[in-house]
Amino acid sequence: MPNPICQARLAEERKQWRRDHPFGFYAKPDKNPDKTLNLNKWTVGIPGKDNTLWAGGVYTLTMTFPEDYPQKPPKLQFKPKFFHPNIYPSGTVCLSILDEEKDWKPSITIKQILLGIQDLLDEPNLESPAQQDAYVMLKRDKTAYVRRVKQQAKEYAPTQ
Amino acid sequence: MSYFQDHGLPDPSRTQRRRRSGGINADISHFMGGEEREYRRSSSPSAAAAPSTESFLAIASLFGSIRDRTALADNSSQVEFLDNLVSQLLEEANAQGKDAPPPASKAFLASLALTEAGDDNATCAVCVDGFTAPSTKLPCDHRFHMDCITPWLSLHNTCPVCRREYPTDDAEYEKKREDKERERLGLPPLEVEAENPWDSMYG
Repeated sequence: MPNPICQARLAEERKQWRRDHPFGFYAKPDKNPDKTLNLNKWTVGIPGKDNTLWAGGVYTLTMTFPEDYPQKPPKLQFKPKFFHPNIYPSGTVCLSILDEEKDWKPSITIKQILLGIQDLLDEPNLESPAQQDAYVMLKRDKTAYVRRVKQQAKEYAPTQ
Repeated sequence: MSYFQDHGLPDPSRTQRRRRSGGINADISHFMGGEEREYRRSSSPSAAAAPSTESFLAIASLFGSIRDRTALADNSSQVEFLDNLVSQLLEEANAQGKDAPPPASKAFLASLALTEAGDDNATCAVCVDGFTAPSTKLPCDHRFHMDCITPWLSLHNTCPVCRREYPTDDAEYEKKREDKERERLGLPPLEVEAENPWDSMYG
């Protein structure tokens, strides 16, 4: 049974996002097979910040809201094997504001979440490694890390 | 003194355990090609909390290297299985030592009173909707619909906006919070009553 608080909040989040969202970002609810909107599952794009290794890429993720949102946080997921020290091999984002046991609170908005992930791209948290590849490379061989991140930014550059 | 020490015999349980763990460590170092040491060094400053996080990382790393072995390269279901396993282990590692705030106390929930309709432009931070339905104000002055705040406080004792903490029914959590507050005020921790039942004997 759909939870009315969850659906009302998601409808409102969508309205606010359409009214105002940060430059270069997008966030759209997916469509059900019958063409109605599925507010519990969104496709989002986060641009890398200018003047960082991540610039030029618009990174795509899925954002899934549980039926007890906003009591529980949404789950944000890149494609599997996305290269970043705080992204699990499954693509799930490891960020304290998205963790029910840590800093999640119901007043956090979609805009705040996506801006938080944009910050995380260029400011990885080495206290919470979530994948071995990027974590070890960043600690051992910064040059190789930089090269790999720039390569990934090219792969995620939007096609004109 | 154990039975075995008493009789000058080697303790079979001890020697066996040591030998077994040595075997596993050797396997891990073999697979990780020295990465184990890297993790050790990087986490040394917070040694107290480190060991269990480190062991999760070590196991995750082990499975990660199995995943990357070429023999598996064209078996995508196995690669996916190992990826999920690694993700779970790392999620465990990151969850170590974190305690979510406990539910607000039943008494506190029962004490929430309905608020009169007021500022018409205000919205509830849980559903982001206006206040036509019954609402309440927490002592921090943040206002929510009754139906929005009750499920949250039944999970966590914090304000959904400012995270101010409210009473819980969790005695251990309350004690910790009080100790923290006393520390902030520069007071010594509260003595547990009758800490040493023998004190009176020497009184």
